[in-house]
Amino acid sequence: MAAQTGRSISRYVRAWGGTAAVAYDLSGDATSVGTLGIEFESQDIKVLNSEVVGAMLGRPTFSLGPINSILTTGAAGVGTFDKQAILQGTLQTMLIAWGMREAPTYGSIAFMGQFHLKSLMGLDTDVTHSLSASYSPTTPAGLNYVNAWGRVTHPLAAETAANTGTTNVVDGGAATTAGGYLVYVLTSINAGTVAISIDDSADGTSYSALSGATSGALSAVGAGLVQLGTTATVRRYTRWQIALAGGASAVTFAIGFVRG
Amino acid sequence: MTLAISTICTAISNLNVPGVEIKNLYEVPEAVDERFPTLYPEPSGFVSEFTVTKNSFGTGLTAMMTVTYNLTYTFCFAPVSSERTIFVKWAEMVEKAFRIYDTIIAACPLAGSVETELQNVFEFGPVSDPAGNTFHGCKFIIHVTEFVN
Repeated sequence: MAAQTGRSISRYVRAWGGTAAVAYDLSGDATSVGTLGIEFESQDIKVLNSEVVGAMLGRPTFSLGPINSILTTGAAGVGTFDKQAILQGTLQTMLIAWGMREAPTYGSIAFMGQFHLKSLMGLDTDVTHSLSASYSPTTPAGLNYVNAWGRVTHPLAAETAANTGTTNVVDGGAATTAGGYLVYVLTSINAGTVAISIDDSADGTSYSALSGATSGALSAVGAGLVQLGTTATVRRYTRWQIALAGGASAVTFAIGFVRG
Repeated sequence: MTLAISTICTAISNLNVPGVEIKNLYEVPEAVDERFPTLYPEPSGFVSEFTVTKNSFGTGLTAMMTVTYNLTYTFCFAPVSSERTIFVKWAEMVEKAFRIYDTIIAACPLAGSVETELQNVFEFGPVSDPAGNTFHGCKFIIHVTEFVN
C-alpha cells in the first residue's frame, strides 16, 4: 500500500458517486464537498411534565455536502448539470476520498454512504456559474453500521483484468470481526459484465474472496453499497477484485470499504 | 520537515520551455547572455511575503505549521536595443512569456511544495538584468505553500 500520511489540501479530494443506473466523477468540476459527518441523536433533558420525546440512541445520521461545483453542461451527460440534474430526488451512493498531498490511492481515507439529493441550485457568482447540491442527512434504511469513514480499496481508474497483485492493498492493521460495507462506483464498462468485489488476506500474500463483499454482475454503469454481516471476519489486508465476463475487457471503477 | 526552497527552485529550473534557459538558484547570471532568452531567480527581493501560520499546539519542532512565501523570477527575452526599432522583439517576448506561464501553471504544484501558484506578473516591458542591461521581458511571482511538521 502506498504510504499516504500527514495532512493535505483540497486539490487532492475526489468525489465519486451515482445511483444504481448512473455513475459520475465530480472531481474535476467540484470546488468543495462540504461537511462530512456522523451525528448521533441524544436524549433531551426534560422535566416531569414535558412531552414524551423519543430518541433513537445509537443510530447515527450521516451528512454530506453541500457539494459545490462549476456549472457545466455537455454532450453525453458530461457536465455537472447533466450529472446532478437527472438525480434529483434520488438516493445516491457517494464516495469522497482524500489524497495526502497526492491523488487518492489504495488506502486513502474516504467517507462513503448513501444520501438523498435534497436541493440543486444554480448560483450566479462573480466569475462563473456554480452549482450547489445539498443532501439530506440520511440514515439509510437497513444499514447496520454506525461508521461512514473507511479506506479507498481502488481509486477511480481503469482495469482490464482480474487482480493477482499483492502490492496495491490496504493494511487494516489487524483482522476485525465486525463486518463492514463496501461502496462501488462503476463509471465505464465496454461490454459484458463485471463483478466488483474485495479479497482479504491474513498475511498480505495469499488472498481469497471476502464472503459477501461483491456487487454481483454489473452490465452498466452505476453505484451501490453492499453490506457484510455485522459479525463477519475481515482479515487484515484487503484488495480490489473484478470478475470480467461476457466480453468485458475494460472497466473503470472505484471501491471504498468501511470496517465495522 | 525542513523548508524545500532548493527543491522547488530546482523544479522550476527543470521546466521545459523551448527557447528559454531557466536558471537555478546558483546560476543567476551577472549579465544575461543576449543570445538566449533567460529566466532566473531575481536576486533583488527573491523571497517576499514570508508567513508562518501555526496550525496546532507544540514547539517549532512539533507544531504543524503552514509556511507561505513568494518567489520572484525575472525573464529577459532580448535586449531592447537589439533590432533596428525598439519593439521588433516585443511581440515575440509576449508570446514566449505566456509559454512560460502556461508551463508553470501546468506543472503546479512543483516538487517540494504543497501548493504553488503563478500569482502575479509585473514590470511587463523593459526589465534590467543584474548588470543593468535593459531587456524586453517581465517579472512574475510564484506563490509557494509548504507544510512544516
